Amino acid sequence: MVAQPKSASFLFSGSAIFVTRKPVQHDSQGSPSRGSVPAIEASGLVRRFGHVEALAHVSLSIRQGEFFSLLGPSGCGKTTLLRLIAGLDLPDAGTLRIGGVDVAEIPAHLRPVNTVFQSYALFPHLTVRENVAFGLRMKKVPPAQIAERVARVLALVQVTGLEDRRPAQLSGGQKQRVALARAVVNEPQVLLLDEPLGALDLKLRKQLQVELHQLQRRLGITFIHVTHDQDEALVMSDRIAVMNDGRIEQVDRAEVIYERPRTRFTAQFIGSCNLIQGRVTADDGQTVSIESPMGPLRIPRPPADPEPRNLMPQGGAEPLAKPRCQETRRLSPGFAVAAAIRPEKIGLTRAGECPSESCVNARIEGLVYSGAETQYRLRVGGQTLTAVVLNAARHEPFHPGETVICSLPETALVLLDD
Amino acid sequence: MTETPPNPARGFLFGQRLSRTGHWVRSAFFSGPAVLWLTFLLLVPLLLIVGISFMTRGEYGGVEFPLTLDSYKRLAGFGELGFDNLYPLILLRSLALGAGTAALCLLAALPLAFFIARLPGWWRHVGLTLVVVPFWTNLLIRTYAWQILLAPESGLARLAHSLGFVAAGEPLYPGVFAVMLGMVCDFLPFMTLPLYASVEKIDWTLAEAAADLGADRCSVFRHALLPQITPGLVAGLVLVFLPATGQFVIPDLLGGAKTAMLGNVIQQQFASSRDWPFGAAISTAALLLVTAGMWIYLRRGSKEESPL
Repeated sequence: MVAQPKSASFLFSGSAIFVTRKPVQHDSQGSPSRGSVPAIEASGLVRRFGHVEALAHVSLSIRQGEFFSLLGPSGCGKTTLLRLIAGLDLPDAGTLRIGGVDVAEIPAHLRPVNTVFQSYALFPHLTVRENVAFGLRMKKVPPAQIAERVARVLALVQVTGLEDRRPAQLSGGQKQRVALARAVVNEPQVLLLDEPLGALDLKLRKQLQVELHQLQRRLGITFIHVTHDQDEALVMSDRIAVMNDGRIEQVDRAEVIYERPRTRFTAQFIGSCNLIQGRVTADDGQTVSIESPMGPLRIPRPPADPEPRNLMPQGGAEPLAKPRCQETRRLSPGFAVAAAIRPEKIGLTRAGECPSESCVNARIEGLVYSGAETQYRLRVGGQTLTAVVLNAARHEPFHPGETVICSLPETALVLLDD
Repeated sequence: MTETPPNPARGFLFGQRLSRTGHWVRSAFFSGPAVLWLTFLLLVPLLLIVGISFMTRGEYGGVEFPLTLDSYKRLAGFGELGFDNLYPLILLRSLALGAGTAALCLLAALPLAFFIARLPGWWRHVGLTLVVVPFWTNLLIRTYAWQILLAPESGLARLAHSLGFVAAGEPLYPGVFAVMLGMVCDFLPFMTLPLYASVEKIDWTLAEAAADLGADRCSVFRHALLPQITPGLVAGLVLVFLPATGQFVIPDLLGGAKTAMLGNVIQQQFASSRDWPFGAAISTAALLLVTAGMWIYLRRGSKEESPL
């Protein structure tokens, strides 16, 4: 027996414009607490276009009230997944539940989700007010109530005074807000956003990122946000699913995705990353020692995945990801592995100031100065590394050709799956 | 390096600051032929027709003074022999024929346009060509072909009888059915082509957006697709309704020449009856009626389309 998910309708009842939602409760891992039923539960979703598998066995569980991002390069299947949830496309295999209800037989117009389209898809022949009222009109909500709710939601997204304009008379940012209002006014269980900020300039995008995040907190609706912009995903999301080639590479909180990428793809797609190839010399279960072109390195294993449930479908039919070498499997000596370290985690000091035990000598081959920070290209052993140092005036800038001491903190090193 | 000489053609057409006279000369050169053509072959004859409609029929079929409104009175039914609804009926019948043809063409062309627009690449051209192919045959030949196809002994007529579509003894041809069939076949391309041009440009994400917002199939069509194809729809309706109203060959050949149409009557007045003023009056009245109708329709439509 599944409990029906809370609808967001209480937001619009009573005299208060928006009853402030209880602050999102974070559990020990910092994620919003789980409702009894996941907002979205996909298992084994497959969608083929001709011979191409746009989605290859995707399973995913998204919690109630979560700001969830699907992040990946174009063609990775993220938009296809969104369209399957919206009902605008149908899966070739697999099941999809929204709020615990199997939606296989439910057409798009009856699903409790609304979409903000990448192109906004505002009706050009209708005014802003009529556009926002469209969904309520389709649901035969009484006109007086429609007017009230439309006015409220337009105020919420800060579009007032434009009610009688048509989409052609709006700027990009205004269209974006109207598209958002048109979806939110229906009080969906889940709001789907397909690259909503893609067409806007950088400054407006930054501003709307923050606004979207706040709006989601205020409404408490589950947001699923598709983007190829890693910054956008990191800034706004509670959790991120990194997708590549029709598969989910990793699902986790933003900081875990960034700090502890599991795969080579995730490490390189999110931010920039140094990859160090090496061979295992010893593995005691806690720490893996490897021999690399820049000398021996010791990489501590991360604590076991705090939420392995993330990766398990509710029925527990099949594990969603193969066991990771990061977690349990002992690695035998001689095994080829790759380790990753972020450029800003690499410490650079002048000779004689080595701060930790794993220091190596490096030669500076080049640098790029960009105001707040400087990016150095280093030669260490047979390996080229990139290091980013904040220009905080702690020391004189390094010069090309200079030999420096480069430290790789153990905790910043991550073992990748290949 | 050699200097490229200025392109004379380009210098003549663009990028040249013309004097006032030069501007006039150029305008006259390019638009003069069309203006002359329209003036002497359309505007002047039209004014002549309007003028003649107020004159009197001469003894031997000529046109004479004094100016009078007699022709219009006769058309409205108030002739010398008291009230007769013959001509108002003909006028109404013709308008009904035009409207009926336009409506049936719309019903047939709408699915056809969507079907062709969603065909894969090359097949779209095949579809459009097939729509236009009937034009390659003369209208009279096509119409006579329908006579043969719908004749009582033909397979089509027998099939219709045996399936019970038509009561025994009722012929398929001549009759209203045959007329409408011939009219729709003749005018279908005029509806299909403008409609297709609109359907092809439809932004389907609007349909998805409508469905996403809770619109069922009918509402998606009504609210997301119909507004997008309105321009093609109006163009098609005008293109079919106007000529269909004046069409008389098809009603004559497939209707059994029993019912007079606007076209026949006008032709009769100018030819066999030699009553030019009356023929001119019918033409003028029909022109005014149709223009007024169109004007009202389009004005209403454009109001809905918003004053942007």
